[in-house]
Amino acid sequence: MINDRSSLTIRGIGAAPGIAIGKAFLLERGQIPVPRYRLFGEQSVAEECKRFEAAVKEAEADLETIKKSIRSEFSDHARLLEVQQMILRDPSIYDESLRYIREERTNAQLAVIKALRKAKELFSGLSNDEYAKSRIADVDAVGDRVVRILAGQSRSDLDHLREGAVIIAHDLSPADAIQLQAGRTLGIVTEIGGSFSHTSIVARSLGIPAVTGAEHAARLIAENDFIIVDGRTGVIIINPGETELEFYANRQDEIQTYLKQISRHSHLPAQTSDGHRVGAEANIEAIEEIVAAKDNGAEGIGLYRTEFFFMNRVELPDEESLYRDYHDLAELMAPSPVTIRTLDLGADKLTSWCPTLEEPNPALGLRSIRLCLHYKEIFKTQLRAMLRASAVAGNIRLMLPLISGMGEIFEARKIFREIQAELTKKRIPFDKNMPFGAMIELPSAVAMADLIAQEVDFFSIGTNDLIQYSIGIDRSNEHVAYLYEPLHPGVLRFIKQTVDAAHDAGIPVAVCGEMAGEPLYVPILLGLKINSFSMNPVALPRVKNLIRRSSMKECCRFVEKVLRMRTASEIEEAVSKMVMKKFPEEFHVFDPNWIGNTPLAAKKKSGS
Amino acid sequence: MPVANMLIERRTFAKERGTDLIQSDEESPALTQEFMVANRMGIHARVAAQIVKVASRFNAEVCIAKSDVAANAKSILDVMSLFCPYGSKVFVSARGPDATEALSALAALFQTKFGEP
Repeated sequence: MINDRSSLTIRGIGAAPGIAIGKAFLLERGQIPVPRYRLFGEQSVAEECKRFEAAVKEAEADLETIKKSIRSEFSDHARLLEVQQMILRDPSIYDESLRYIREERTNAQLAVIKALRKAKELFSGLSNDEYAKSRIADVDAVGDRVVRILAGQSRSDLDHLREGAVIIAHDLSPADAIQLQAGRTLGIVTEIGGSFSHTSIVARSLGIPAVTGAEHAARLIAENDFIIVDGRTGVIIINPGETELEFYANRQDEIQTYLKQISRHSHLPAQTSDGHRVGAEANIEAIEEIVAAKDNGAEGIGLYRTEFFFMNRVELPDEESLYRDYHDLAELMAPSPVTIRTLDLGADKLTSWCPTLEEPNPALGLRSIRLCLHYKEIFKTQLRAMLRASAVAGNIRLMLPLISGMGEIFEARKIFREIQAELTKKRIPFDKNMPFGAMIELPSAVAMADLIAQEVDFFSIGTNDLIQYSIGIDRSNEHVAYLYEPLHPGVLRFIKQTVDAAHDAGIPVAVCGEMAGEPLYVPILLGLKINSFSMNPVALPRVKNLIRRSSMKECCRFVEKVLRMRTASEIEEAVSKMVMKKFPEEFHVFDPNWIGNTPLAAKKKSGS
Repeated sequence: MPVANMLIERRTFAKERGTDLIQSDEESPALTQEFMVANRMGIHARVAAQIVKVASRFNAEVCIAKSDVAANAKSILDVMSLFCPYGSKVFVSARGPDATEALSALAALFQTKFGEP
């Protein structure tokens, strides 16, 4: 029941967990009205020049202040602000603006805008679109700053955010994102972007709750509106009623207290109360996330997504740049292991290099390992880079995604051996024992798990895909999304089958899908005898805490019982009961209404 | 491409953009040297900033050219607009009283890969 009539709930993608409650701060771009007038007399020209110079000085000082407040791990970003400072003084902007004022007698704002327009033309002819776009964004950010100062209106700038607020924007530019400060930014809502966008990555690493892809948020939310953002479920409540407010405020408080408490122990090993040791590793997609992974107690990287490097670029990355990336990663994590997943992209994302395919169903199309075996050069380049980087510390593990059967293993293995031979011949060092693993995410791979296990060194279960492919649903399809049930008995049996096959062959099994990062599934996965959990870094403290508080014996008994159940809802209920009894504080703090995977807000909405 | 041709084309381009180009004349000849961009990220924004900082320390006119496009090495926007990914070949030329020093300072930057991998 919603008491307050003006309360409105919208939904986006939960991009960084946590709850933010506060006033909305709308970050607008390019909305400042620009007056245009002609200057009369030398006196007014001289004054306008002075006004312009003062504005540039102020902008420079502002940038300096932001630069100083940036946390040390973002020092690269601080240097980007230096670039902005240089752009301010660049002749094409600074001298040009002054020239417009002096020669054409335009007012300062218009002069800046004209100079900007000309400066941006420099980038318009470039072949690399992404590069051009980000340079234009840099120029715009600088121009915007000066024009706002000239207009005497600088409040929409992030650095002028003095009190804590929830930032609402269509999208955050990288320049905006790096200005985010955990203290002043309570939360973030953007209209576009997914969970892997720049905003999401920065938000997660700073622990700021964020929701991305919230359509029309900037239109529906007004400046200073009181809002609640739940960065886990993606729910945004505008002008919440008292009940909602109380509910979320309590949860926020509880979450913070609880997290503080468990984070103190996140560096301890992931070992159950009865001495069973498992792995707790991090899933990352950019090297910058290593800090967060280590801070949260990761014992290694269980999944490094290599797609980031291949997307949004005109040319394929060359071996050297891949090598540097993997090398740095291996070096920074050593001696802990780093599991690199080979390219897991669909042909639709590779349009710049391979012909566009008519694929009515890309999820079942030419993607992942299939794509790599089809365009062998891409695959070879990646393998070569990985092998070379493995010489640094011998801590790299190779992982093949979307394996459907033995054929792909044999073919990939053959190419792998060829590359090894080639490197040996050239006397390039590499780790001869680099583990070679397969992801289990297709039902056919589960069926073949006993044989695949004979050929590889480890398994990693990608539960997201395994669930979708085995139940046959696309979870982004709202009509069938309700069928996305991680606790479906069929899914649990598949996991068990995979683990049994692996253990019979003497190899370990990890889970690197979202299931591994969900604390409520800890007892189930432990009981299924998973050897390692790999997840989003921020989930580590909670999952580790639950692992440390679980008894392996109890989990196994519990899973035995669960495996005899017939429906997902039956299992869900048993899991909630079990967790509620064993870990009341965890259950209470994070998901008071967890049953059926429907958060409170959604229930209320559909019930009202 | 011969340097002479390059300079001519560069002039055409530079004129359009209102940037002064570097011409050899009898009093002070322009010095030109070729470099390869050897850091893996290429000349991105932060590297461009380094180039501008170094070039601005000298009185000499300094210019960077890639194929038929030239840029004033003292303007960050100009340098960034060249778009030089890893492996690009560029010509750096300098003219003026301290041209030799300017060129060797920039050469040091290129040769140390801008302090990047």
